[in-house]
Amino acid sequence: MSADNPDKPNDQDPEPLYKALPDEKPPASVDAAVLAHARVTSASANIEVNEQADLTGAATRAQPNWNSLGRRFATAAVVVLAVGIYLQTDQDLTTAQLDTTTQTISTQSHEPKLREAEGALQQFSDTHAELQDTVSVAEETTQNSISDLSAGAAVKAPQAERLPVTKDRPETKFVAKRRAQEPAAPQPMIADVASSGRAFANQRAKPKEELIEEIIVTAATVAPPKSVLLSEGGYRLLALEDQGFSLEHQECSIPYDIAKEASDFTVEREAFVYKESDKDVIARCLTGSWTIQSQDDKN
Amino acid sequence: MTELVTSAPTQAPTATATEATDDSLISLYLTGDQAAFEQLYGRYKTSLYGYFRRQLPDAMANDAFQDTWIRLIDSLQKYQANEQFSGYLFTIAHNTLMDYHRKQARNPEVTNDDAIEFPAQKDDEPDRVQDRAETLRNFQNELKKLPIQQRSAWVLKQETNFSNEEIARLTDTSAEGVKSRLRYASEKLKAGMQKYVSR
Repeated sequence: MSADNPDKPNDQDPEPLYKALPDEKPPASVDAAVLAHARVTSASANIEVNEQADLTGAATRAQPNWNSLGRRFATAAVVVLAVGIYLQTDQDLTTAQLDTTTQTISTQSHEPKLREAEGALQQFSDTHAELQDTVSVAEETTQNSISDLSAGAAVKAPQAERLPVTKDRPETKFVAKRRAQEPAAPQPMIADVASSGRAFANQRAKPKEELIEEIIVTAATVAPPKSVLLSEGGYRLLALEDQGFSLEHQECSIPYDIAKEASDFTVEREAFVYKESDKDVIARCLTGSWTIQSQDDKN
Repeated sequence: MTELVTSAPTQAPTATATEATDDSLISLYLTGDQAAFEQLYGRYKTSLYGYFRRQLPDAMANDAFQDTWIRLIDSLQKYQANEQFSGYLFTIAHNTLMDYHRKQARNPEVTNDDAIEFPAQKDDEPDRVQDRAETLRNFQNELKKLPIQQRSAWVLKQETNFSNEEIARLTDTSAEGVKSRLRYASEKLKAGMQKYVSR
């Protein structure tokens, strides 16, 4: 009882107050998630143990051949990963899809799951083949366009062989106007247009955002030093304005883990980052799906 | 006068002679005995959940709780039997909590205003129930106002009854530091609650 106010309880003592708080239990869904994780981890650990036993010849005949299964699984995982990386780089498969697939395969090692993985692999292979066809057609189209442009320039060349303008025969207004309207000879926008033609050829079928991303990745490959500028507190990606793209500046930070993984960055303040391996990071940043977090925050 | 009903202390359980020890449950689990893990989980889930629930918003507390167990499960192979399991678990929990505090600081829109229900006790009059609920709500608010390190140490003490040395070890500080954090926390909570009492 409080001396100042006898009507009020003496309930300032923190310990009893804390103990009077109702006990709370985690929701059933959380319980289930934790126990499921424990089950999966335990099963994986047992598979590893069995693999060891197989290697030392101690496994019984009754046990499945985990060693062989493991090799098959590893092969499948590597192939899926390779296909996934290809699709991620050149086509529309997102990193999230790839991660999910890889994680699914790597965490579920039982045979039924392997069959599922093989099914997924088959699906990837089919998609891959279809995409390759698309890419081939696109490359061919681009090559034809470039050839057409070159041929066009060649065909137009004779028109330039007009009679020279002299004092006796000055250029008429009509000729001067027509000459002014003539298109300039086509110039390659980027030196290596042919090699990066795939990205440009795919422009027609892509939504704007993907197109921008792809152009930047391609352009970054061609002219890397202008692609990424490191600024204090994060990475500022500059649009390749001098490459002819009118894109707004975009800003994002590379999550700590990614920055750590990409430890081969040449990172200095106001320095350019342009290693080949950064392409992926640039693309990810530009999708805008990453949260803002600087390395300083993490530390 | 409001009478606060005190529930049973929520301390980290200790194995009795008839119960399997934490270490033996872990050994069983590592050989594939899922039931052993469930027993271990049952032992610690309330105190661990309380540890997060008193310090984080509802959704974050659930995530932090789950993350802690997942980290624990993933690292059990490295667990040394000569360590105290509860200390090992709460070290992971403390690190997870700090991660979530940082996350919360970066996302201030995640508020800490989850309402906790205070169930009525038997034979309580409505006024007394309301009084008690209000007192506890005030206490919850005062608890949330404590600096993170003081609150973490204080809640850890309440949930686990660890010694100052143990808390110091798992929060990577000195026993003296823990002692002063606990003292400051208690004083601030008392002073905070005094405001309501003297009204």
